[in-house]
Amino acid sequence: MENLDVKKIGEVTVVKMPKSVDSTTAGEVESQLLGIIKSGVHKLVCDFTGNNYVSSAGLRVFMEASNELEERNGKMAVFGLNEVVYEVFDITGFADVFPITDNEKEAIDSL
Amino acid sequence: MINPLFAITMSSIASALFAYLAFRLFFKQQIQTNNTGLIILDNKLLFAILYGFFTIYAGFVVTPNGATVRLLGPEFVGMLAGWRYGVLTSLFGVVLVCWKQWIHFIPGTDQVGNTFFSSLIVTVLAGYLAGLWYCRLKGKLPKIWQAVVFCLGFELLVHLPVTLLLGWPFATVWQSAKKTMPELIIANTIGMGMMVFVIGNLIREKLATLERQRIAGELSSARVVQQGLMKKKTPDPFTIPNIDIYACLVNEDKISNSFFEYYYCESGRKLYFGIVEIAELTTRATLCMLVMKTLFRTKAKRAAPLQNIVENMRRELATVAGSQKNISAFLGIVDVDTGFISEYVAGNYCARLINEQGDWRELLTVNEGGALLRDGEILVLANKAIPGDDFWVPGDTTRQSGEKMAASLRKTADAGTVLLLIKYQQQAENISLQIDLQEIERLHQWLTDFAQKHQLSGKLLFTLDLVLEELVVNIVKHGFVQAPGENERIDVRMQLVGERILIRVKDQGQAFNPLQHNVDQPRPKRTVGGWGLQLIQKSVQKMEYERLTGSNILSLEINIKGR
Repeated sequence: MENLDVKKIGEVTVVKMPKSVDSTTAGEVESQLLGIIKSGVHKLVCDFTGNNYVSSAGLRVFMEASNELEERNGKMAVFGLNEVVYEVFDITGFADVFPITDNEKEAIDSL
Repeated sequence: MINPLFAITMSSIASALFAYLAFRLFFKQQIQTNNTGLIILDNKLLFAILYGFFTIYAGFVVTPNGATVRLLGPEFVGMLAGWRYGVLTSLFGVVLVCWKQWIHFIPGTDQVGNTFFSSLIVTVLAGYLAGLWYCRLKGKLPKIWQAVVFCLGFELLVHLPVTLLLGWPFATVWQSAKKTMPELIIANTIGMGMMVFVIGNLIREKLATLERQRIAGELSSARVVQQGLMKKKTPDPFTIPNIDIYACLVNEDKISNSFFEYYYCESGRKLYFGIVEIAELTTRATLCMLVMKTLFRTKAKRAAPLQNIVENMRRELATVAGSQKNISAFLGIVDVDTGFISEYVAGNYCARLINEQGDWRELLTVNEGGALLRDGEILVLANKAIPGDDFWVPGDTTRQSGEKMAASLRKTADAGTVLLLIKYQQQAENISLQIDLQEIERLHQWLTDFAQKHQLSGKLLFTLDLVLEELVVNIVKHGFVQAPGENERIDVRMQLVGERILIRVKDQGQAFNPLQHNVDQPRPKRTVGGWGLQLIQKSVQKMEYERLTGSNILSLEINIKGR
């Protein structure tokens, strides 16, 4: 899997999620995300506009990332989830773990 | 001198011959179509003329004392054609006799016998009275004893008195009458009995022949109707979901008292099928069949219970055939989604289930009970014992199997044997995955193809992806304590049935029943992992778990309505 697109908007790091975060891609996404966090990022936004599939393996990635940030007193938010992906986050209670917003601006503002 | 016995025999033979001749020449074909035995003659005039000749020639076989049977002519014609023709015969005979006398005895008129004129009158009376009797019998052939009594009565009460009255001189006539009368009576009654016997037999024989022809004709038309009634061609495989049918009448060239019928009730997704045997093989069976087939379809359309269908069939049969007990039936319903058979059996039937390897098992026939038709199994149903299984070749289509069985049955079975094969095969798509997370990609591709093929929405594809990925990942990660063997596989089968997607996941991993894990209980927040089962249970409408011969079998159902 290619490296994830990463951009900096002020002190916020926005990472673009791949098309699918399933059990085959989850490992790679996880190591890249944790790598970014460990490099000293405290405010992380995940961009789901290009994503259309997240399985429980993917959820695990975001929970890991969220926990990692928590330990470092950081925060994360996500945006741009399509209907079905949102449902997955909703069913599993992720909406309570980190903010799920409609667009990039709201996501940055929520941190 | 002529021997009296010989004369009597001769007159009998003559009578019989003439009766036979009359029958062949004058009896209309149609007479026998009404089996009341009424006599309808073809050409009564010719009949009368022919018997006029009889009066003269056959009738002049004479006994030593001068007795003849010539009166039989007009009596016979009168009896069969009415008094007009009877009298006509008499007159014809009279004219002939006069003419003969004229030729032979002119000018010696004194040669005319003592009873010449009385004979003429008696002859006419014979035709007339027999004709009156004809009216009384209303055109029916008299019984032999009636004819004999009539003859006897005529000889004693008409012939004798008239001869004595008109013959001259009285003393001579009386002398000769005393001698001839016994012979006259014997010859005439025997002759008459003979005639009626011959005609009666011929009529009965003809009636029997015609009845046979009529039945044969009706049976043959009934057969044509029946063949029209029977489905010509079983449907193409799987036009009914998951079902492949083959049905046939084993001896289809013969009239049958049995029929098969099947009807797919689309709304209920149930296949109604049955074979029915009507006890008596009559032409009415065809009518009964028509009525019952119609009834069967109507009831199946309304998804009526089997018991109700059979009861209705019995009632209809009672109206059509006038009897309530002569029907035996095997009716069944197959749920095309599950293969569950419920059946109703009345009578003896052979019902077996045969799997793709050719192993038989008997379908336990408990009224209103049920059995499961497993995937790939064929239900073989017949109203006769199905011969051995040596003709069974695994891999044959249902049609091929059916045709082989029919050919085998044909050797032994009688008309009315019906064979019905119902193969149950879930039209599912399968994928076999290795115990490796790398297989997830292949799984996703397979699901994408499935979704495309069935034009499923993106949302549904997402659900399928999610559910199956979770299940497969679970099995790969947790299913095997020891490293799985080379040949271990996860078998996924999926089928679109109406508005549901049926999924079955099978693996040989350690027993794991996801239903025993309550996903609704509160979990510590921010736990990493464990959402899989939750996602699955929220995405599917039905989930069933089974542990069978070392395999976990998980069956899921996803409703696609409005999705």
